[in-house]
Amino acid sequence: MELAMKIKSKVAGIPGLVSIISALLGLAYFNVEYLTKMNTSISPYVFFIMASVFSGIVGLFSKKSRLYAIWGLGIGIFLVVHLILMIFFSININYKP
Amino acid sequence: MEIDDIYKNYMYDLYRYLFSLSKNHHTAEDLVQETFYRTYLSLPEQNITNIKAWLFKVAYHTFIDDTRKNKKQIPNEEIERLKDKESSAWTPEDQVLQNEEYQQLIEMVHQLRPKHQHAVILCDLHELTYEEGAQIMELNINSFKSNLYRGRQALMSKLNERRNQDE
Amino acid sequence: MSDDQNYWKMIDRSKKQFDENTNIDSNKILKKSRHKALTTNILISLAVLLMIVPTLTLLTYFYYGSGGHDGRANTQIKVASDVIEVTEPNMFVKRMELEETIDFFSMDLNFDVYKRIGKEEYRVGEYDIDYMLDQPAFPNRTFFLDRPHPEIPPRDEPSYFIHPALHVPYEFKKEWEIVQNVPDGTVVEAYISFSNPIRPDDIRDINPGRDPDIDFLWLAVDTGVEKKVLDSEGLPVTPIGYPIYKDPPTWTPFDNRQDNSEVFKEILNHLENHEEQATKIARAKTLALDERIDYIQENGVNIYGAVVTGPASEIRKLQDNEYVRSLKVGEVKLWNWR
Repeated sequence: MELAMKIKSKVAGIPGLVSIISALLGLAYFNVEYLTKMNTSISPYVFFIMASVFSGIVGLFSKKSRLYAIWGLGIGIFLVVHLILMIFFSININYKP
Repeated sequence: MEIDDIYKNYMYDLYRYLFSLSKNHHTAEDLVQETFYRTYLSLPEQNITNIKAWLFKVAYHTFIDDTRKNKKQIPNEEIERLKDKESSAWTPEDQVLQNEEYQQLIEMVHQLRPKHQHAVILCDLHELTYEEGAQIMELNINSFKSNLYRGRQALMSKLNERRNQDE
Repeated sequence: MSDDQNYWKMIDRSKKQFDENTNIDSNKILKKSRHKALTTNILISLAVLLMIVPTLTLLTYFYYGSGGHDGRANTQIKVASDVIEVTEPNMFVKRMELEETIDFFSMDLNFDVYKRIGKEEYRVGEYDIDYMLDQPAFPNRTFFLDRPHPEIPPRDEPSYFIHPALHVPYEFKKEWEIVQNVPDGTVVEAYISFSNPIRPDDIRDINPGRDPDIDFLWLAVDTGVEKKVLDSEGLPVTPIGYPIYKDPPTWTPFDNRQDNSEVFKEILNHLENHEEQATKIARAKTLALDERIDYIQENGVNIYGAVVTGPASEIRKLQDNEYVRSLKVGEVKLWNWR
């Protein structure tokens, strides 16, 4: 019984950790991309964002590492909003059909 | 590390306190760890004068958050957990392994009204002062005292009752 | 033994027993907690640090994308390209080719400027304007012109259009000489000044029936300050006017859908709202927009000079034209007059 609970509580912490780590990777990706102006593929970025949001939602319902899940989810949502706004603004600024 | 030595001194008190609140060894151990985790996180920001009271306060909030989180979980699971708790608390091995008397005492305390319970646990079982207890429960000192006295009276009469039964 | 003593004894005994039976590794718990707290601190600090750049970019784009009905960046792009069209005779920006680079609270505009000489458009220069928020630095201009205008307009002296109220400087005699000696088979861009200000519609009288066969490219508007070549504060001014396009470049406000002189007035009013920025981009130290707008409102749009283009032989004919008082040669290109 005790062992089962221990294992369960260990596993319960994983989504939160995954969430914050992918959020951090997403952020790091954006930083590198923006500061070096490399303009490589956007797909890893989108992947990190999705991973952080989805595992963040899962992590939110687990007892352990809620804090990480909240941060991961928060950053994930921030990055989604950021991406949408950036696309919106860059299309509108100096609009070219 | 000086602060760790102080923490170690209160470790047993905290463990007992969290056990008194949760009636579960596993939860108590988890929560002790969570309590120290929180103190490590917030320590640099705060200037703590009364470490014991502060630790108890953090521990209490940890416990509250934990019960709140568990309540949100699926009711079935909750019921099962409660069953687990009860069975684990009263299996024969546990009775041998763990402390029978304290456990019975806690069972009795838990029969009191919630505010009385907590006041008794804080003051009588863990020797916090009235002020500290009142602060943790976020009550003014007078209502804390009245909660404590009533809880203590009730507990005493329960103890007497049991002793009479035993005799 | 009293109840009270009993109570405390009982509590004491059970507590001791409980503690004896409690088996927790305090070192392990502390280590684990400390380790976890450290991890949390590192992760959160990292997150906060990494949020700085996205937050700044978002704020920057929000800044440039908002404000006014078109956003600050678009407003500044319009100001820059409009001011060039109205202050640089026969020079225009292809707005489709204009490029902007936005960095932290700064913007960099890059674009080419064109002139029509003869029937063709030539790329004659590059502009590079750095903005800090919505304030431009002095633009970096590179011109590929044989006869560029002075970078800093001379004081008290008109450099290419001569207002009827002013004497034609002696050097302008040489300009006719140039026209005479430019070989046939070339096309010439020329700045002509009139004997009297005329209404925009009357410029056709200068070449009735397309004789001489020239095109009007840009009209210099009399705004009151040209008489002195100084504004009311004594700063030198440069000509102001508007283009005439047969085939307007994309997104120019002078797209022939409306009378160009009306568009010109609208642009002056718009530029007045951003006069500080517009002045930075123009070569003149002052645009004196307030003064000029008032004058135009009172006197209407009158033309005292124009940029024309045509084959050298046709330009030569202007010397005997009664409307034309003086001429200055601009660029000369090989024959493209079809």
